[in-house]
Amino acid sequence: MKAHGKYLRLINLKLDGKLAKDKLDILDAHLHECKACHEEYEHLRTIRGNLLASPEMPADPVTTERRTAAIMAAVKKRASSKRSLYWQFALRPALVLGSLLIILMISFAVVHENEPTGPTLFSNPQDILIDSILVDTLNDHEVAGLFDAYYEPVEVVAETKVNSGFVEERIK
Amino acid sequence: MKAGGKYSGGDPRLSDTGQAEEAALVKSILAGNTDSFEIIVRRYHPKLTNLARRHLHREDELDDALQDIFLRIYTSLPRFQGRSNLYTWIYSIAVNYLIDRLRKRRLRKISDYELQETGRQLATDGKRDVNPEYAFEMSEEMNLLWLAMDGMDPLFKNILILRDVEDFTYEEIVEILGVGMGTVKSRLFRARAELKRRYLALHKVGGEKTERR
Repeated sequence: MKAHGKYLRLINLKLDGKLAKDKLDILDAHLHECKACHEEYEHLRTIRGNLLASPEMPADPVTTERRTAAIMAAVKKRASSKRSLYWQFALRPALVLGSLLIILMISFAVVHENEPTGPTLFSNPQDILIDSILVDTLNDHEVAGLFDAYYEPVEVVAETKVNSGFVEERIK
Repeated sequence: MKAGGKYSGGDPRLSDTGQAEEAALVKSILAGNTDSFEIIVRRYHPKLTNLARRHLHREDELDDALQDIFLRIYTSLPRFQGRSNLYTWIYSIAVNYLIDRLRKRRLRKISDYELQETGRQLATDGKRDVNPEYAFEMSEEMNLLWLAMDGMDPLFKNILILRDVEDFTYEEIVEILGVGMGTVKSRLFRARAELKRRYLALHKVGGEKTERR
């Protein structure tokens, strides 16, 4: 029978109506000659016929109602629980993404806050002021404007007097 | 599929209009309207009950199994993309669940010896209470056949039920199981050979005993 493996596969396809005409003719000719394959075909055909004829149990209305009620109660419970569809597929992912976004923004802000920056008016106006005076890029009027903008007059005088006589002189 | 035969409770395979209606149902359920799901439950309950009964062969497990299947369908609905028919998608969830359940049950495989013993018992008693829900309406041959299927590998049993009992086409089985056409054909071939072997073992022993009597 092992030698007839090819035909056994064809028999299965014949049972399912999936065999092309040319192969069907070859198989039918073989089944006519080979008793073993013919028996195999008849067994499989009978079994398939019996399975196809298996009755379906009619739905009992009482059982159907009871099961439907139980299923719907479970579904509604699921829908209202934290594991509801919205929680699982919308709110929870949104919450996770939102949290990640906030963490990223905070991290970004912290990193950039501690990052050393070049001289700016807002980071260290005194240094800029002094540098500008030293390289003579600002005229006296501009220097005086900077002082007015970033220093209390009293502090300016005190600070410049203590720290830099040169600056004090140029400002005057 | 035999028209009106296997789907005596209403064919869930729908026309384009029906599919559009089911798409609207799915949309409504996803929008939070759980009552719409009841329509799905009522529509598929008879078919899934028969499918579960044929796989599990235990009436006392049906309530749990069906509830689990419908809950799975409900929670998986957001992943239904409408590329396949809703009924094949629902069947694929049900079938995967039932195969898992059979595996978890660690179904005791019936050995050839046990098959022979059962055959002897059948010959003696004339009837065996293996499948009581069918006993009143199934012939003895059919009872033998279902007995032979009981101890089979869940994958074999499943493909036989889909093809030879439920009469799904190869293409539908491919969609339901999510495997290739070659796998379906090969698995079906092996499953039929195995069922025939088990069935004949039962039949032969039962016949011998009857002759001796």
